[in-house]
Amino acid sequence: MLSRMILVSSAILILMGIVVVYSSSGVMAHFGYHDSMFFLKRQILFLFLGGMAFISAWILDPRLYQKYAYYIYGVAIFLLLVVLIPGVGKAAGGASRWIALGPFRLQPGELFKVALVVYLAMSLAKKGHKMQLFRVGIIPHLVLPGIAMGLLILEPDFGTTVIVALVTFTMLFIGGARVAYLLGGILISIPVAVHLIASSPYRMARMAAFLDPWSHRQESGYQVVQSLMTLGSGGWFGKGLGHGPSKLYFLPAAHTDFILAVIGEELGFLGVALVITCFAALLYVGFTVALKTKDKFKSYLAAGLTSMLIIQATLNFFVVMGLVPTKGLTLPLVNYGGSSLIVGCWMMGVLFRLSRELGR
Amino acid sequence: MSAKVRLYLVATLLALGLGIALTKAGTLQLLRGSKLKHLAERQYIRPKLYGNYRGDILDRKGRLLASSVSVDSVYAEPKRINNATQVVKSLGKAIRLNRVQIEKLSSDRSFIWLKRRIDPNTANKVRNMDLEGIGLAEERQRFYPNHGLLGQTLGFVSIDGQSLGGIEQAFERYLKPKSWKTLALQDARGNPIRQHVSPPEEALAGNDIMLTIDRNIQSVTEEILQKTVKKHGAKAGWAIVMKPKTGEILALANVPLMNPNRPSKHDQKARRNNAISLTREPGSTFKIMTFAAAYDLGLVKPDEKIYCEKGRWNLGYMTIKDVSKKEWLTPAEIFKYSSNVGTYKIAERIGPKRLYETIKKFGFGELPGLHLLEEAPGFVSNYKSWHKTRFANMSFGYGLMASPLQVVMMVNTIANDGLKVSPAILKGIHKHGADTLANPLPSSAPIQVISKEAAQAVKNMMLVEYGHKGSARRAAIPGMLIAGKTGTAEKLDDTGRYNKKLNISSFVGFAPANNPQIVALVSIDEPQGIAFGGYVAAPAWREIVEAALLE
Repeated sequence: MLSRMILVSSAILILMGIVVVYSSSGVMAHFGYHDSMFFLKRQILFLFLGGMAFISAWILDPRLYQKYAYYIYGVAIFLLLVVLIPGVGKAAGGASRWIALGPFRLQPGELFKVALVVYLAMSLAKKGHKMQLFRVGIIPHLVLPGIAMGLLILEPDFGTTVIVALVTFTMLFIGGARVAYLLGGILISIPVAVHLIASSPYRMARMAAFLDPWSHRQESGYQVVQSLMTLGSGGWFGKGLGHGPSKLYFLPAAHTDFILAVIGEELGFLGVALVITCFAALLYVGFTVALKTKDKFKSYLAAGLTSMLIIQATLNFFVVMGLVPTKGLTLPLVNYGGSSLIVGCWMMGVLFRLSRELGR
Repeated sequence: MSAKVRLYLVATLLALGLGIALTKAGTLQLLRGSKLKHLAERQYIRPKLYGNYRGDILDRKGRLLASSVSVDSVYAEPKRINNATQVVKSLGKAIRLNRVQIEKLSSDRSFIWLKRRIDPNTANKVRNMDLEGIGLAEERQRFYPNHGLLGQTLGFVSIDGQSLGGIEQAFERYLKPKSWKTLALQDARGNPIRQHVSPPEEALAGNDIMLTIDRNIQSVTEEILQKTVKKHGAKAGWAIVMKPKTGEILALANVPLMNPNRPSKHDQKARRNNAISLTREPGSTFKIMTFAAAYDLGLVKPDEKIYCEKGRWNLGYMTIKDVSKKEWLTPAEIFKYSSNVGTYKIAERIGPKRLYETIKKFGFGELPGLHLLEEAPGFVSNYKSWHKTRFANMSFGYGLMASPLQVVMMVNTIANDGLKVSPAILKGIHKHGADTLANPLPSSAPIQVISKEAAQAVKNMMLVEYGHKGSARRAAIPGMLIAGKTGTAEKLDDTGRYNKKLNISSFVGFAPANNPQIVALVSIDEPQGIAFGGYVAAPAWREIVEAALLE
């Protein structure tokens, strides 16, 4: 039952994603690449790779991740370093977040997020009751993710940094860290976040746009305003697939970070509700697995991956709906992007495997 | 806190986040949806105006008087120009650019006109250059194929499609193209993506309007006027030719002509439609009113004799003078010799009130009803304010203001045996290219303003037989009885006094007298030398009426 829910929910999200990626990128691809199916074809290829990732995650014993957690984490950190090397890291929009691999681009940030969950799950499981201690439960788990967050800030990739921070705190909480220590950690991180925002003009502009997008609708608030109008245009049932005009260069990143707005425009509130329902189903499945799994590592892995998935999806929704300031955050499984889709499929594969193990 | 509780807590918080997202989506899409949709559509959909074909103006037989032709205009989209210097160099071979335009080409404006309305050759040159950011736009230009014909009456259309004066402005609501809003979907860069099918041009063209004017009669009338004005060294001339029973105007001529294709070449004065707008004291032609009132009221008998004081009658408060010094005259003779003394003696029998009422019934002091903006109502003061001098002057055509059209309408009512019709210049309106007529203008019903007998009595006085003597003899047509009245009105000069050297010589009448087919007025402004209406205007009148009767 649980495993079937994973298959159905993720299939709906992925297929809806592919259709809407085509709808929202077709015009732009036609003029930019002389092939309206440019992004569609690539997304289908990524889905094929994602399928392989899903199958390998299904076959492989999760204990392997536990065993090699440090190596996995090490490789992920290494890639975060590589992306910072000028010439290797591909810059786009003032940030170098990608490593070029032929015609494709690898986004190490996406890989790092799952590596982090694996590492934390392993570490939390190992420490057990000692998690209550500040020295054991908190310090090491702030040092290693802290290094990664520093590297992510250097890219800069504020969105992933926030996700990493939230996932880390969530997993430490689940792992049994004292609430007082965690609250302290949050209190410490607030001035850091404020400084990061204040020190960067574009983050400040985004903050201003967030607070009053309609006054800045021609500049910094443009994307938010376009997103709200696009989403709002859909009504109950939407304008029908392919019939939304927002993709005619009005809504930036229509096929990536803002794909939910296009879903809302073309498939209406029902489409958006379906997406949210699918994520809710995955949330239910993930935490049920985490609760029922006896093995600590697997339980933490399930809870961590699910938390990360839901946190990222929710933040993406909030960005699209203007509830939080704009930041570069993908909608897992749905929007265009190879790294994101393949990693998403792998996560689904892991959850699928863990849910199947319950029955045995 | 147990591990389970912690997991439940996290799951609940995450579910709460999704719930917030769902609620917000509902708010945005279902509650604020229509508002946001409206805002969004404002940027995607721009109303686009189609249909730039202004309706044609036709004469009563469907011959073109005004039409619209397409011409090309050169525009630039400086934003899209990469190499402005190169573009200026290339364009310079076809059109001349000024310094300001060259500067603008290097700016980041989105649109500027470079040259409006270029000839087809230049248009082709520019088209063949195929320069990025330079384009040709098809525009419509008003074209008057007969040049100056009916110029002042037609009015004209400015370069931006603004109708100025005449038929063009008065009937703008019929002529103007229909606006057509289409949903022209455009992307954020302003490129059209998809355009809904626009209806065919005919459906969007303005309505054609058909005038009562006969192009041939108009043309002949203008020629004769021009010839007459030239012959007498006059300043100007105007003429109106009308069908009596319907009030339809067949010709409305003003000389010198004004070519509406080049309105800027003519000054304000030359653009004036004097025939309907110039109000003057009508002079002795207006005696028709005094006689009409007198006959209608039964105050004169055709065979009675009235003493005309040998052409000079001192009333104490004024002296009335005549050109011909007669003693006893019948009413018809008073009219024929244009005796002011005799006319006033008849007017005294009528009295100011009844004379005033008759004048008003004939339409003086009111708009004749052509619906043209230039029409003048003239001016007749109320009889209660008339002092004796004003009353005397009024009886022979001074002390009031009337337009040539009003004088024609007066004579027309006599020709119609006292039945007053409304003048008309608009015959019908129809869809461009179609031939079904529909005249939406309200036309007032004819009114019997004086008795048939009275009208016929006035008509009899106006008769001009060929070969007879009289001031109107030069208007006579061989083999036909006509009716008419000469007029030689003195104009006020710059000092505000009547100047014997500044006259408007006119002739107004109808033919044939027993069954009127044509009513016409001819006025010549400030002829040199002999200025009598019978000498200056009557021959022109005869020529015009002869030509009109043939049509």
